[in-house]
Amino acid sequence: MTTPSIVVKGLHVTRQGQEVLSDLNFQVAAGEVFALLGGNGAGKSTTLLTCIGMLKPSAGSVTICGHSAADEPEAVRRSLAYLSETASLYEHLSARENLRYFLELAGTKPDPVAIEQALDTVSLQADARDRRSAGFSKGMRQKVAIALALLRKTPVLLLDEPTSGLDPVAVEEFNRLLITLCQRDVAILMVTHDLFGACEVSSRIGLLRDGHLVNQFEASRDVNGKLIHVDVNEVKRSFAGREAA
Amino acid sequence: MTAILHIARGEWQHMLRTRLAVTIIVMLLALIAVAAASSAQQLVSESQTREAYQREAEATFRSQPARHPHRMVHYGHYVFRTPAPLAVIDPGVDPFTGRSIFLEGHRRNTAAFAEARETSVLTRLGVVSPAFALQVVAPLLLILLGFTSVVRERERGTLLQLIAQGVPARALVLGKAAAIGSVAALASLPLLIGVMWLSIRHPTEALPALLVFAGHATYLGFWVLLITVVSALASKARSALITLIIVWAATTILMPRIAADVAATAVTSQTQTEMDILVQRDMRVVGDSHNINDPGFRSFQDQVLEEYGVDRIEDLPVNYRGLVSLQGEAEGSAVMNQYAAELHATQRRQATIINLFAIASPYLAVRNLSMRSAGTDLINHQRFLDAAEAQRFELIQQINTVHANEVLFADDSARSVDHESEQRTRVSGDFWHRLQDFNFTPQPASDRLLAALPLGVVLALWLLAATVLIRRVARKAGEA
Amino acid sequence: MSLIRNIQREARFVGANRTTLAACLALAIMCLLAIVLGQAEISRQNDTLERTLSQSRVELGEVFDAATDYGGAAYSGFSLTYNAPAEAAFLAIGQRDLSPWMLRIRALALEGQIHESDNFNPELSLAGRFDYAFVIAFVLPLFIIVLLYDVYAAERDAGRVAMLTATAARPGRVWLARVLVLASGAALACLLPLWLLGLVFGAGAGNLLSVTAVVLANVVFWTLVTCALAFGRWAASVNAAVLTGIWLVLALLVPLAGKIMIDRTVPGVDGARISLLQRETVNGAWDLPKAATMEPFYASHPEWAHSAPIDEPFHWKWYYAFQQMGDEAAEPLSRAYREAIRERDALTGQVAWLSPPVAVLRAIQNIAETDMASALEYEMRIRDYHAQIRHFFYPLLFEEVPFERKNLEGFPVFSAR
Repeated sequence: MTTPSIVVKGLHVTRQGQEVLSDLNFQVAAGEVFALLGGNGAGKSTTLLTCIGMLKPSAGSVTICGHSAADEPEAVRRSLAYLSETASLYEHLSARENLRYFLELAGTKPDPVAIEQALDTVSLQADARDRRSAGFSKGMRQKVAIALALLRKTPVLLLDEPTSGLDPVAVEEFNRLLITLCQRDVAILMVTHDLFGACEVSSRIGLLRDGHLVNQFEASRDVNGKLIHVDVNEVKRSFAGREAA
Repeated sequence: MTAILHIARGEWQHMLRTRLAVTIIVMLLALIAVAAASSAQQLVSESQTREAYQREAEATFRSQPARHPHRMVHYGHYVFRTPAPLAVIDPGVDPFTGRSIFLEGHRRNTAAFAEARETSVLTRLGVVSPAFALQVVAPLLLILLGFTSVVRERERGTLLQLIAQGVPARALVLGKAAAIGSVAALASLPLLIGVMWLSIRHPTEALPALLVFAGHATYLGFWVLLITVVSALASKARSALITLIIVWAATTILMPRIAADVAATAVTSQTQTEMDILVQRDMRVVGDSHNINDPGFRSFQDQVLEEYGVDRIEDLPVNYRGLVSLQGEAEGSAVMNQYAAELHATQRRQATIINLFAIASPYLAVRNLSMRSAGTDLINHQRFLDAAEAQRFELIQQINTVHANEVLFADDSARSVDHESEQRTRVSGDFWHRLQDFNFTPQPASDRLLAALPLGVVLALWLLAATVLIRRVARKAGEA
Repeated sequence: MSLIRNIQREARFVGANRTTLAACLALAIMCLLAIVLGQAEISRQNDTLERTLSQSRVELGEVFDAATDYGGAAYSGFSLTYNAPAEAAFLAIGQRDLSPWMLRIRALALEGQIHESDNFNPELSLAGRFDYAFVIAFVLPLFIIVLLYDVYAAERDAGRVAMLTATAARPGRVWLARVLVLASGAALACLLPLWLLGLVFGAGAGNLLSVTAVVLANVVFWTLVTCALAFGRWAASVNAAVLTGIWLVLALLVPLAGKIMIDRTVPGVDGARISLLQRETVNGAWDLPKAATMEPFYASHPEWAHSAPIDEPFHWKWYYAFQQMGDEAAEPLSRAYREAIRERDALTGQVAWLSPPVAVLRAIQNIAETDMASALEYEMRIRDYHAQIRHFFYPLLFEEVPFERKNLEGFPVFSAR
């Protein structure tokens, strides 16, 4: 394994006088999906915001593609894409216009052909591409946001509760997209409280509680190199056990 | 009914626990208190000043020494307009009209010394008065207070919860309206007290005062309902607020000005200067009554000689110069009154156009209703001008009659060159005691009510529209 | 990435938002309407002025033709003074619908004439005029608030702030550019109509530049105020409510409080006093010996002291002498009245420090020359002209020049600035 794309080391973050993250440690390598699993207030969103550099650690560090999130937020942000829970787009713009806007925002020149390809990859239906995004479902918005990540060719993707509020078909499609991204060697960090969803796509799962990892599970591969998912029941037991404690 | 009260109480609790809402309520009440106090104080001092001036002017006139009557015609007299009793509540156009008129022979003067010009930029959106506070500021503060009332419940999901618990949607919407309405009622309480106090002091003003109150109550009621309706229809608090502010600004700030500009453009009015020139031109035809040989009075002279059966004006038993003055003033006054009547008609046409805009702006409806009832509108200003003119004409003709009867023609003709004749043309100062007191009364209450009636109907229609709307909204909120 | 590129991108972004465009368009239409209505009023005033000037000239000619002595000619000879609208007057009607801008005067005591008002319809004055200055001072701030109050909160509520930050690398620039674009939209909506119609109506580029500076300063002020709240932690609706409250205080309540304060500190001289005093002096003279008028008059006007003594009960030179003495008696009061107006105006200027809308109104009225200072300046020009008229007649009266129509030819003409 080469240097991991995301390195979180001894991370402490304090928000409004309260320590939300305390001594959090994990790494995500290229082509890997790491799911941070936790209940409400476990510190999932805080972890993501610290990765973007919007929150500063009181101790420890987040390093993304070799850059410190606290000290070089701009360099870090150039190498990552972020998908919010709501995946909201600008409603007054169409899918294509949203992409164009965000690409320009990232300082990339939008190429119509590339946009078309990216929208094909995320399989956004053709009739929706020039429609205002006001009526889009969350699944459709997510597709546009992932298309953005594809277009920006960022080595790191951060996902905030990507599957919440998605219908099963959309979850299926979303999972397929994640696999596509993994094949392109993107390091994916996703925070979620969806145990089953996490087990289905992740190569590793970290259980977050009181601001630090309490347990980690790893998917294994069989002899043919096919992924054997993390066992849901195993995680569930660990989760429930801790919950009881 | 209890459900409505519960909802209203809940909303009250919410308001009292929100810093913004408490600030707004305090601001509203303080503003109305300050407006009422300052308006009352100013009006009382103003009334006293003008009253004192009036008495002083009358005393001065009556104490003039023996003089040639025509000197008194030019000495003239001043009349001052004392504010209408209800001007405490709504000063209307008072700050924009002159406060005194100089009455003299040969001229119908305009009212001079308007208050507004001196600090006009400060009062461009209104002058300090309870009417202004209730008509302009109160709706905006009620908006800030009430725009979240229903939409807040929707945004937080408590709306569905309440309806699921069996609270009728109607009770929910009406309860919110009741809560906002109670603040509006609180704000209009000082007005009610003022109206009652004024009715006791001036019993004839009781009905107009009541109409002023009813108008403001209806107007605030309209806003309360509108605020609730918009809040109930909106999906987001901010869109409710923006919608309401736009409606407020359009009806309260923009519409009156657009109405005024449209009126000024549609009906053009003559300036005083233009009118003066035209009057002067027409007066040349009438003739200069200082000059008995003016061709304008040739036929009058023949008529007088024939009437008295004499051949020469020197043989008349009365002073022909005085007769010419009487005739000249009568004809001149007719000319001037004709122009004034035209001007007044023009200004009323302009006012009618502004009134029509009440259909597009409830603010204009209540503003005009209030000043028409209070007797502080254009109609009453014109009435003051006409009353002053009537007083002027009567006074001047009284003096001219003295001129005709008490001064000998021969002395009068020689007075510019002969000292003794001049002395004999001076008539006793006793004549100046005949000056009548000037007592201007506003339009009778019944006329004012009649003038305000159409505006009252428009205002009632606005309230009716809001009521229909809120019933619909209440039904719809239940379906959602 | 450069700021300009940011601005270009945000301009396209904002331009795609129909609501924003509609708001800017509405503002632009309001500005257009205000300028057109203002111009309609001013061109009406210009037409009236032109008409009245020629009528007045004819009328004066008629009076002079019919005159048999100089005193009589001076007595009936009204001539027109006027305060012609300045180039940019259509931007702010200002005092032009409250203070007279035309006045006919004659050689009699001026204090009895100068305080005449015009016959403005008070119900029109009550509403005030819908002019450009009004739109900029009172309406533009509301538009800026509406455009900007949720510039940040909308993103936050939609959960887009983190995504924007992650994508843009330097989000500060994005916000700056977006605020700049929105504020510029509001500014352009006001400035395009101003320059377009301003040049057509001949306001003069210098005036337009000054007004532009006022508009921009106003936009900057309200943008800063709005952003101070918009980038805070409050909910969008709270921001909007608080901003509306601030507008209410600055636009309505501070001016009214200022008015009460000014009324208390400078109560003002009651104008009625001036005309009463002037009347007493002028009329009192009739009952006094001639010497009581002529001696003080000759003392202050020694150039006529050699004039022949007056024997008759009535002589025009005595008549005009006591008219002059009447004015001189009322002079201290009249001066105090003007001083009071000036002082009140100066205090209003101080209130403007606390109320940007008042400051904007004053600034634009100043450029349009429709402010109190301009009205007072007009009054001073009337006074100068009246002195000219007096000094035109004095030689004819005091030298007792035999009456000849041609001697009236040199009658002074009121010069428009």
